[in-house]
Amino acid sequence: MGHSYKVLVTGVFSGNASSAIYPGCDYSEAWVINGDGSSDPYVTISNYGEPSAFISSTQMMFDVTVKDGAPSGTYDFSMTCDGSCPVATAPVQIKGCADETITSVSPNIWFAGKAYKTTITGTNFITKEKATKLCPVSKVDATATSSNVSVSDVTVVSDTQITATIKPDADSTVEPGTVTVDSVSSNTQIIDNEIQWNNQGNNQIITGVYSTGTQQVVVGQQILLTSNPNLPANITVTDSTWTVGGTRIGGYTVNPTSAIVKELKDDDLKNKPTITFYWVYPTDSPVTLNYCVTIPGLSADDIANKLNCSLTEKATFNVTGPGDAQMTTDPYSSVNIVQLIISPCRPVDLTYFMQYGQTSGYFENQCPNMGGETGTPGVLFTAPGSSSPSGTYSFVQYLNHDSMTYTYTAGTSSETCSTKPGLDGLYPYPLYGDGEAADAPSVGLLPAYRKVSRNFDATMFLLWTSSTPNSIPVPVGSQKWHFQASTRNPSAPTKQSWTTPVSQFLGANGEFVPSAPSQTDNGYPTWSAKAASNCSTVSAAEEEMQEEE
Amino acid sequence: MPQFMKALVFAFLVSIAPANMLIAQASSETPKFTLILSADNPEVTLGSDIGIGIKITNISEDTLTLEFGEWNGVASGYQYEVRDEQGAMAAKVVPRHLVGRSGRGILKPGNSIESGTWISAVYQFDRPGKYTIQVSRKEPGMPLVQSNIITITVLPAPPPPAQQ
Repeated sequence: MGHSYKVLVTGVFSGNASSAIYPGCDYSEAWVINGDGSSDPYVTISNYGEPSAFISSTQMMFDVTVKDGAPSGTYDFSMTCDGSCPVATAPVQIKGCADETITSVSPNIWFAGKAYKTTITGTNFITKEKATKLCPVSKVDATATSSNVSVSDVTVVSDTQITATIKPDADSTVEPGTVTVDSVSSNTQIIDNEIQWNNQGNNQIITGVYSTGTQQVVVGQQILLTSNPNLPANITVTDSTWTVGGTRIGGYTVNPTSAIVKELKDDDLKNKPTITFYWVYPTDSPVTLNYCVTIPGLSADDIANKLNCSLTEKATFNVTGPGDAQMTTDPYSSVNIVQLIISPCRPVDLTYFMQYGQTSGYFENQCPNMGGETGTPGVLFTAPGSSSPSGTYSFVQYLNHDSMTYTYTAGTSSETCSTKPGLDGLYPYPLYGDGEAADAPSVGLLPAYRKVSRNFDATMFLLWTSSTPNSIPVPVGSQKWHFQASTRNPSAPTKQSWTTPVSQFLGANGEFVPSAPSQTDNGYPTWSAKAASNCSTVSAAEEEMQEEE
Repeated sequence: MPQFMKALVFAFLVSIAPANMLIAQASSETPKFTLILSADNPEVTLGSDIGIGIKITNISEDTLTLEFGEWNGVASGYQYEVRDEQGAMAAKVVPRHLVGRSGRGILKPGNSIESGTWISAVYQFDRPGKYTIQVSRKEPGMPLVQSNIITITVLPAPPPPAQQ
């Protein structure tokens, strides 16, 4: 670009139809020379030596182009002869545009995807009113190495102020930018929004923006997401907000004393550069992140319009689980009087128990290597044999109700022991075999008891834990089960001759209930204490009344 | 003690014999499991139920078959030792009844099971002061494994509310 002129030079020239030269020269060149003798880089003369330049022996007409931005000043128009120093000069004046300067660009920090009405302050900007052919209206451009930045609505308000709307594309990267007014420029900064997640499965941090594609994770897998705005040192996040879709929790803290599902609350998702959580149920679950910074130069309206805040970054996760896993329940058909041999492990040391199930033999820990108990427990739960994705099943038993009534010989009091609901002793419930859990609730019987009755109600939960490191168990479903039984000892208080227990409600209490987000604590088994028994004495009179009932 | 309870008490207490009685049986084999003991609450008031957690972890490459019974809220298969501030063994509780389950379970390599035990169902914490607790477990063909020692402080019971 530039401006072209036909420049008439008057002097003494030689020339004809094939050349236009200075007299006595084999060839001539024409230049515009700076004060230091160098040729002016802004000026080119295109037709020297050509016959088209020759008008007469006293006139030549040169084609001169002056580039935009050529500074004003007086220069020498010179002709050289056969490559020598100038042999003739004449002063010429270039009347250029005044040098523009930029003193500030506000705002000079732009979020990717947001449009900013930007004010450029400086000097010698050329307004529409002052523009000439040589000095047209100031032009504004914005560039960055890897990002596309659009400029629109440019208005040269005055020779010291330009306004323009500048918008980096939404997929811009974090990098410096440049605002240019004609030939002068000023540095700016493009910032962006990024979500990173720590792929616990591979124990590595995968960097990148997860706004495209879908990550494959499993229920119970620890999800660790990090906001990575990659901001310049002078820009800090003032507030940020995550959103996490699907059924998600902050954790599951569990031991025999308590099991608590930690909610993922709003406070856990605000102003946290990193969040850790777990999905409980399979679904496509989006995660979004939005954050704000302090950008100098934004108006109140700009801030109201969230120009100080990033676009919402969205990452999508496909959460899978073990599917419609079911636990089967095999209940035994009766409550029985059994004999379990305790230390010192001789057959004479027999103890009678009323047991749901029918096991007999030796207490393994007290009578090791003597065969242990054999027989059938009262209830056997079986988890699915395998799962896809890879993981393991575990069991948790919660005691809903367990009460025993011990009636002594006539004329004495009886005792009722009730159990405060809670975990049934162990977490997790021990595996009876691979993928199995069993229970054979037992009550020790003594000669002094005339009658013993028991009312038992429990829930066995099935959980699944992914093989992915740092995973937590997730609920799969639960099965309530129960039994009620009583037995009498006509030989009390000196001997034991227990009657076959009378029982009812043996085994499963209803169907297997798959876990669901709508259930309390998202279907997780929770408790605040271990089950604990407390006994109270009932007077003989009360006992008689109860007997009659 | 009523005659009818003797057998019951005997059976119950065998599983809570002091750990040091079994030290002589320790073999030189490498332990296949560890025991970590924790207190539900390190400070309790006199008369409160006192709970502890026993976490057994299989540190071997074998699947272990172990007793995981539970009687009267006390995990069986372990030996319990409770001492007062003077180092004396705490007196044992005479249980009135015996309710629970016996039964073996498997513990796969790397897996843990934590048993909740009402230790106050085994020993009497009948005076204010500090009590130390340790549990141990002896399995056939394996050395005795002892847990860490924990301390529980029993605080005096608060005075009854004044009569109006």
